[in-house]
Amino acid sequence: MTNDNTTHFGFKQVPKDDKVKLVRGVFDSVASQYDIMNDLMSMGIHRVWKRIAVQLANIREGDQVLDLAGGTGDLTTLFKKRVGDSGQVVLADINAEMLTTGRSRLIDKGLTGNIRYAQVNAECLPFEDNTFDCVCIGFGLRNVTDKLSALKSMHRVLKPGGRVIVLEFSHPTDKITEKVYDFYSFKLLPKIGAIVAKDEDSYRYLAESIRMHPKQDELKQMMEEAGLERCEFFNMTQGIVAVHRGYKI
Amino acid sequence: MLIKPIFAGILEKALNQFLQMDQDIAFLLQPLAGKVVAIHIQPLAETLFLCPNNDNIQILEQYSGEPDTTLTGSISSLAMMGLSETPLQSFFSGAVAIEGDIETGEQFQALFKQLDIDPEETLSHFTGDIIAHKTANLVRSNLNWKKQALENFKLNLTEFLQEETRDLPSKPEVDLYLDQVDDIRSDLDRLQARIEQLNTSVKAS
Repeated sequence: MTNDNTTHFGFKQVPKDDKVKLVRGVFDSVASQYDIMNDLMSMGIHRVWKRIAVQLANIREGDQVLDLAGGTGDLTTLFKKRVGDSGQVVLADINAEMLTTGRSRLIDKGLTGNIRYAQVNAECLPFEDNTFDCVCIGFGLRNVTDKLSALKSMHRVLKPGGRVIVLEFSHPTDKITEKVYDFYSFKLLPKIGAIVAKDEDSYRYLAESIRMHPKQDELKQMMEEAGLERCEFFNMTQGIVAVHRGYKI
Repeated sequence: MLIKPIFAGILEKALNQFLQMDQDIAFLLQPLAGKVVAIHIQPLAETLFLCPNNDNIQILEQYSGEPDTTLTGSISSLAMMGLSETPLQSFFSGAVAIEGDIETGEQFQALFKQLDIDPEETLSHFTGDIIAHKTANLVRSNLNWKKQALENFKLNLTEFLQEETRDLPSKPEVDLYLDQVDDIRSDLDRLQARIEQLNTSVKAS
């Protein structure tokens, strides 16, 4: 059981104040190899998941988008295409290393102008109320210590009519997928991590943190608790990944 | 359901690929930029939102604001409206219902009518001008030959049935026959009128 002062870090219990540091440690160590590992881990499917999430975000030209835990900027690249020249995308991450990697990557691709960068903690977003048409957090919410306050904070910075998109690993919907997936993420994944990124522990943490993440229904309930309305979720790849969507009305 | 957003994404991609084949698409889209046209497909009870920008059309599966124009109809009636020469007929016949700003709806419909797709130009991006031109000429001459052949076949068939087998009458013969029928009908009408006139005069006396 979790008491008030501790939270989970993978399968371990750690003091709440330490989780931020520990997560930072993980991402500092994987930042440079993050993209290669994503492709290896998901066998490239993460690109499809991200595209579908962006489609579900229903972004129009001219929209203001906040890409939280944006990491190396995959989602920002897709958002930037949709908002055009008149919109703006803010790529935000709590981790300076990831943000720097992401910024260099986007600049190398020639994506500049209306992309802004901010190092922020999702639990207390430093933006004014009613700023964004869409706040998206892609594969980041499970690393946040206090998910509810992060969702509340996201709700606060949304404009009325705006939506929150949570793209996150979730829980398989059938037993067979679950078995295969468990074997893959606990046996194979840390090995791939050890060979490619030379960091078995960080990838073990990734697999464990996915298991500790709330189930589809629980996250939906949490979003409703944070004040979001018309919440729904879409399972992808048999529930290995889910997109949650909620509106501020 | 996930199908709708995926479908919207694919449709958006396809539509924009198609629109980009017109070199002046930006000019055509300009009056519509920033508007939102909702298309409500009736039997499926699904709505897609088309949002034209300066150089493409974004298709959303959900839109939280109020669309400028809503078009409601079945897939076929909506497609007919987009393609037909007389789109207003679709409204008057009730196949497509329009709500909101009618001008936007009309401009949107006009967009598809104004499209000037030049396959030769599109092809030339991949093959270069010379091959594209030669291919286009080949296709054109092929089409022309087919058209000519069809025309010839029609003429030959008519001639054969009218002149050789005499199964069908020729046009002058038909005209003459119809004139004669008309004459007889008029004569008959006059005769009937005359008989009625005589009848009334007999009764009166």
